[in-house]
Formats: sequence, C-alpha cells, structure tokens
Amino acid sequence: MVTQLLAIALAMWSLQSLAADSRDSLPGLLEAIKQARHSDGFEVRFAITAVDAQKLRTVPVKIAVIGQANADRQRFLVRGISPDAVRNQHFVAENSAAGPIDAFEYGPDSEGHRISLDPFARLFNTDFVMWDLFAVWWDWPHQIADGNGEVNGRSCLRVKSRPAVPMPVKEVVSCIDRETALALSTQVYDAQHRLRRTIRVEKLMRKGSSEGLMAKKLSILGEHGATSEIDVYGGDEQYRISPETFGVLDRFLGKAN
Amino acid sequence: MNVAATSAQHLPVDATPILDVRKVFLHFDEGRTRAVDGADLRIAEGEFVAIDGPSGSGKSSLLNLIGALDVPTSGEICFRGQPYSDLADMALFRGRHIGFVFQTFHLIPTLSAIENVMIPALGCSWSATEKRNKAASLLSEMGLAERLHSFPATLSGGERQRVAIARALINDPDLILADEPTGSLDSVNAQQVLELLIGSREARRITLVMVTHDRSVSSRADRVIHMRDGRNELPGVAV
Amino acid sequence: MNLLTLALGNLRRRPARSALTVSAIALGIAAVVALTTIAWGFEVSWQKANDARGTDLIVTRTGSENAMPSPFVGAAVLNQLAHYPHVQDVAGLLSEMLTIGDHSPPIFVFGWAYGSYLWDHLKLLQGRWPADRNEPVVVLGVLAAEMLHKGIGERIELEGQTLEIVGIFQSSALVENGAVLMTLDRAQSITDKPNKVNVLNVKMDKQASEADVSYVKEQVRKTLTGYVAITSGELVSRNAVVRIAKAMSQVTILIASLVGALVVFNTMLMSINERTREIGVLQALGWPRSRVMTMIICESTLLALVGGLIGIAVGVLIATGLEHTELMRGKIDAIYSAPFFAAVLGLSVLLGIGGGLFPARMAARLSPAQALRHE
Repeated sequence: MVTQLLAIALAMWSLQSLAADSRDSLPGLLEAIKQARHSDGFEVRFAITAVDAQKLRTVPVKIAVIGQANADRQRFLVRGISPDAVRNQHFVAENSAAGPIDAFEYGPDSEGHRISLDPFARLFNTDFVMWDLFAVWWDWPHQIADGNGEVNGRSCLRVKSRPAVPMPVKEVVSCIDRETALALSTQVYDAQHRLRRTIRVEKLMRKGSSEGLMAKKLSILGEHGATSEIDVYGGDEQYRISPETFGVLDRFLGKAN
Repeated sequence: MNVAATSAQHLPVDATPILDVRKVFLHFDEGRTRAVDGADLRIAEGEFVAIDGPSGSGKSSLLNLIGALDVPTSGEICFRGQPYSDLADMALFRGRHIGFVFQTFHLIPTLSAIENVMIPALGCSWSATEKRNKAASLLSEMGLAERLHSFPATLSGGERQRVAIARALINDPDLILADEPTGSLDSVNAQQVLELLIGSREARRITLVMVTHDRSVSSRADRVIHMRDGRNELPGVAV
Repeated sequence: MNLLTLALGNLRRRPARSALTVSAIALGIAAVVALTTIAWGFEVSWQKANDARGTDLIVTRTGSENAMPSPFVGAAVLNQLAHYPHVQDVAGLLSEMLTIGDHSPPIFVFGWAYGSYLWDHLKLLQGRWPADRNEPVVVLGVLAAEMLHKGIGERIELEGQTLEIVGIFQSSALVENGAVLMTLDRAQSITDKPNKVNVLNVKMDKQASEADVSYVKEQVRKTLTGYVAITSGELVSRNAVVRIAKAMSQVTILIASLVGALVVFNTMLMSINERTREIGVLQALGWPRSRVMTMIICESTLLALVGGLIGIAVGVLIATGLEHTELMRGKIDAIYSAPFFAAVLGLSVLLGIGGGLFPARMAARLSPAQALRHE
C-alpha cells in the first residue's frame, strides 16, 4: 500500500516537473515558440519610421499585417495604409508545413503578380522584410542552444538555427525569453555569414486578452547603419478571417495551380 | 578682611537658610575629574555671598549645582528646606526662583533687548502687555529706556550685561546667581553693573550669589566663600 | 514675542541654509503634486467623459488592462444587456489612439453608435453631425480642432481613409474635447474591426437604484462569461497605464517624504549643534524641555510648510504646463481641489514634524550645564 502511494506520488511529481521543465529544454522551448505563433486570425497595425545612416527620418509608413497560422499552414497579408505612395499596396503569402512560400503582390484593383519572397527584400523602403513573418527557421533541423544573453534587461536563451541545405540565409540567431517564448532579438546572416539585419524588441506590452506579452516597439538594424523603428499602435488579436481576406491569394494560387 | 567675620551674623539662629549645600560632590569621567569635591555651606535669605578661588577650584561648577543646572554625583542641595532631588521639574523651579547672569551675557542675537528680557516669562500666565511693560520697566531701571528695540550686536558689553540683569529679574526670583558678571567688562562698566546688581538685590531683598575673581567685587559681599580643589575652605555658616 | 516669532528669527539667522532646505522640500512636493495631478487627472477625465455621457455601467472583456479594452463583437452581448431590468439603453463604442496624417502625436478617435444616447450631451458649436451611420465624415472636439489646426470643410487622413470635417463640438469632458468623433460604423471600417466594439455603455433608467446597478453587474458576471460590468471609475483605475502612473505617484510621495524629512532632519541637527549653548541658556532661564522641543519643531515645520506652499505652486505650474503640451493636451484633466492641496500641505507639516522630532528631543535632553560649556 505504502509502495503504491509512493509510486503514485513519484509519478505525479515527475509529470509536474516535466511540465515545468518543458521550456527549460530546447525542444520544449521551440515547441512553445511555435505554439505561441498559432492564431485563428490576428491583425497588427504598426508605424515604421526608417532612419538612415545620417539620422534622417522618413515619414512614418503605416501598414496592417493580417495573419493566420497553425501547424499546417501560415498565411499573411501585408497592406499599406499610409502615406499615399503605399496605400492599398498588398503583399500576400502562404506556406504549408515547411514547404515553399508562395507570395504575390497586388494593388487596389486586386490585379497583381507572383513574387519571390526574398529573405532580404525590404518593403516600402524600410527594413521590414515579409519573409521574417514566417519565421521558417524554427522548422530547420539544426537548432543549437548557445548560452544566455540579455536584451533590454531581460535575460534570454541564445539559439542558433541553421537550414538543412545551403540557402540565402545561412544562420538565424535568436534570443528567446523563456517566460513568454518571444524572440527578443533575431539576427539574420546571409550565405557569406554577413549579418544582414538585427530585429530587437525594445518594449513589451500586455496582450489585450491578458494572456502574455507582445512587442510594442521594435527596432531593425539593417545594413550600412540604417535602422527602422516599429511602433505597434493597434490591431485585433481575434481578427475575423473572412473568405475575402485571403480571397485574392486563393485566386492567385488557383491560377498558379 | 577676615572671611569668617563676614558671615551673616545678623540672621536669626533658627532661620531656614535659602540654600543648604550638604557634602556635595560632582565627579566626571568615572571620578577622574572632581569638579566639586565635598562642598558644604549654607546661605541665608537676602545674603550677598561671593565665591572666589583659583581657576579650576570648582566655583562655576558649584554655582551650576546651586542653580540646578547640573545634578550632583552625591550629596544634597536644599532650597528653603526642599531638596532638589524632590523637585519634579528643575526648569520650572529655575524659572520661578532663580535668575542667572553670565560672564558672556548669553543674549539671543535675533531678539531685541526687550524681547531678550521677556524670554524667561514666555510661559507665564501674564498677558503680553504685562510682560512687555515689566520688561520695559526693568530696562528703564537699567538705564536702557532708549534701547528697548536694539539688538545685542548694536549694544556695548556693559549694555548687554544690563539687559541680562533685567532678564534675570523679570520673574521676581528669590535668588540671583551671577558667574563672573563683570569678567568681560572694562572697569567703568564693571562698576556700573556691580552697583546695579547690588542695588537690585537690596531693593528686592534677593539673595545674590556671585562667582568672582575680583577682590573689589568680593569686598562688597556680606560673606566670601573661598573654594579650593572643589570644596569650600571654611565651613558654611551655621544659621 | 512668542515661540513662532522666535522660530522665524532662528530660521532667518541662516538664510542660505533655510533657503536650500525649503528648496529641497519644494522640489519634492512639486514632483508629488505634478505626478499625482497627472495620474489622477487621467482617471478623472475618463470618469468625467462617462459621467457626461450618462453611462452608468461599462461592459468590456475581462482582463482588459491596456489603454483600450480589446475589441469584441458587440451584438450578442448588447442584446442580452438590453433585456436586464432597468436598462434603458445600450450603446457600443470603439476607441483608438491614432495619428492623423504623418506627424501629429496620437489623438483619441471615438466611434459611437449612430443615433445613440452617447451623442446627446455634446454641444455642436459649428457645422453639423454625421448624416447617417456610414457617412465618411468626422466631428472634432474644440480642443482637437485647435491642436490639428483644422476647420469645417477640411479633410483629415485616418488609417488610409480621407474624411471630411463637418462639425466642431464641445463637451464637459476634457478627453472628448481633445478627440476626433465619428460614427461607430465608420470607426469599424477604418480600423478593420467589422461589427466590433471595445466598450458597451449601459444607461439605466431614472428609477434604477444602486441595487439595480449591482444586479446588472452580478448578472453579467454570472451569465456573460469573459465579460465584466464595471463603473467607468473602476475601468480606468484598472487600466495598466493609470495603475502605473498612480504607482509612480505613490512611490514619488514616499521618496519625496523620506528625502524631505531627511533634509529637514539634517538642517535641524546642524542648527541645534550651532545653538547648543543658546539652548542651555534657555533651559537655565527656566524653559522646560517641552518648550525647547516645541521651538525646534516649530522651526522645522515652518521650513516644511513654506517648502510645501512653494512646491504646490511649482507643481501646479508643471502639471498645467504638461496639460498644454501637444502630447498630453485633451488627455488629462488636472485635478486641483482644496482637499488635495490641504493633504499635500498636511504632508509637508508631517515632514516638518517628523524631520524635527529627533533633533528636538536631542536638544531637550541636553544638560543645561553641558550645553553652556559647549564651544
């Protein structure tokens, strides 16, 4: 009887420990990161201000990003809001379970064309790169924990991600906050292992649903001393994806197929 | 002058002394410093007693004990038969019965002459007008009617000491303790101040105990108590 | 001549030291006044907005701690609320902080249900109201019009949509005067939140009592999972920004009090050290310990009181100045009230007493003979 009770207690303790330790192990943390990205639908609006090497600031570009992501598929729609030059420019892209990313560009009249989602292609003359939204590096086979780091006073775990086959991006180094499973910084290296951009979370805010934190301000340090400052000013964590939201994408894919 | 002969022989034998100092000791530093070392004397009502002695003989320390400014290590001091150790509030006692005149005057620099005189009367029940009038009257008595509102910095040494005397008299004390009151004054002012002190004492029948080095001052006293090594050389007069 | 004049004279003896002490206290009090005014002012302006509208209860999603509660589809909740006893009207609204054009600081943008009671308390100064629920027009609060330098007939760009200004209004609530107002449908369109609101405003009928309001709150808690009904004061006071601002103001009060008391303590200690012999003289002249203590505490309290008065004036100037900056204009309603100032002055007095108490006790405990011997 006593032995049985002890065994049950031990099993319960082990289960509890496993749950608590899951983010302490790298696979556990990676799984938590992927889970945190899942959403039935969200919209984020942010203002991006590009600052060149001479510290000259551009007029802020406002864009809306609508997304939907689960274990099988991710898709994102980027829409320019202002100024006039970017208004109603759309970029839409989708990938299925670590497959290639299909991307398209179209204007207000929904007419457009396929584009290649270049990991170094800047949108709207800022350092914002659409490829980053997919965070494909979390599905790469080579993931190495590389010690602890710190971003703006928050400690994080450095993780190096490398693809299975040579590609334009040789490595992505992230610093992950264990508590929130958020990447506080992300560094993208090209095939020659040159650092092409660093994305840092400068300020966090609580989600409206109070289920954790999200980025409120980010900075992207690009090449040649240029940076982009991103300020998240609005959005909807429970955006209703309607048939029209990704209708153009579906149409393009239907055409492509 | 024979010290013994200057005792207050005119007082009745059974009169209670105003002050009865009984084998009083005042030691500091765990007995290493013996400021008063067995002083024993009596002072009659209305007497003018001078205390002299070499420097460090305990004159001022004895005066402090008599003025209830310090507490003796042992021994007892009685005022009209009441031991100091029985007093609940020494400050109240001082305010009611004792007036002090110090060598360096100790006037409050931010107060005028009349305000300095009023300081001891601050807690009294008289009205502000009564206090002011009395202070003005005392200052007039001291010859300072024109300097009521002057500040100490604008007064001479002699004038400041006169303000101090007026201050000592405001509460109609029974006893005035003066510690070298003429010590910081020139001879002319010293004479004036001495006359004022003695005159006030006689007019009000106040007991005056004065520490002094000056023979010309001590010669005016009814009796001189000579201090050496913390005690008075001759026994106190039995009254 | 009394203790007060004596205390004043003693402070005047060292004008530089007294001035420095007063300045230190004034700075601390100014920080307290400015921060508290802003923290509470933000809350008050929101409270006033809801009171002005006639809203008795606000229904939002639970856990909404950000500046704007998170949006939700209003229809189902609205229908349920409308059937509770004594509920006269339910109106949805969407509120956002958006920049207008390229360079303006963020401004409040409200979308109110067209034809709802929310509009009733506003006073139209110029122009007209939106003609229908979908008209792509806005009306500006009088302060917003000033800040944006815009008038009737001009256009503004909001989230990529161009909207014509058709009216300018005035409200008794500062936060509304500094806002851009449009219909709910238009707001939902520009923010891409179809059918969504972030707040449902509940107006109770005239017969409703406190108990009826509590009943509705309880019913929402029981039957509408994920939603909460609170008064506007409760909503604002839960808001993370307001809580942080209030916490900061409380920490400032604590730090300013400690620093103020320490400064007074230090000043009085120095002063007593210099006046040791004088204190001995006062005791020799018959001053009891209590009177010596009272004099010292009088001095310290005077210092703190003067510092407090100056600090209040400076704090009001700072808060008023901040109220008029571009960033804060129309968002805070600085609260100045006699009880508030009395409380701040009370704090100053406490600082004075607290800072002077120990030095006063030290002074009173001096043996007169020792004090007189002091160099």
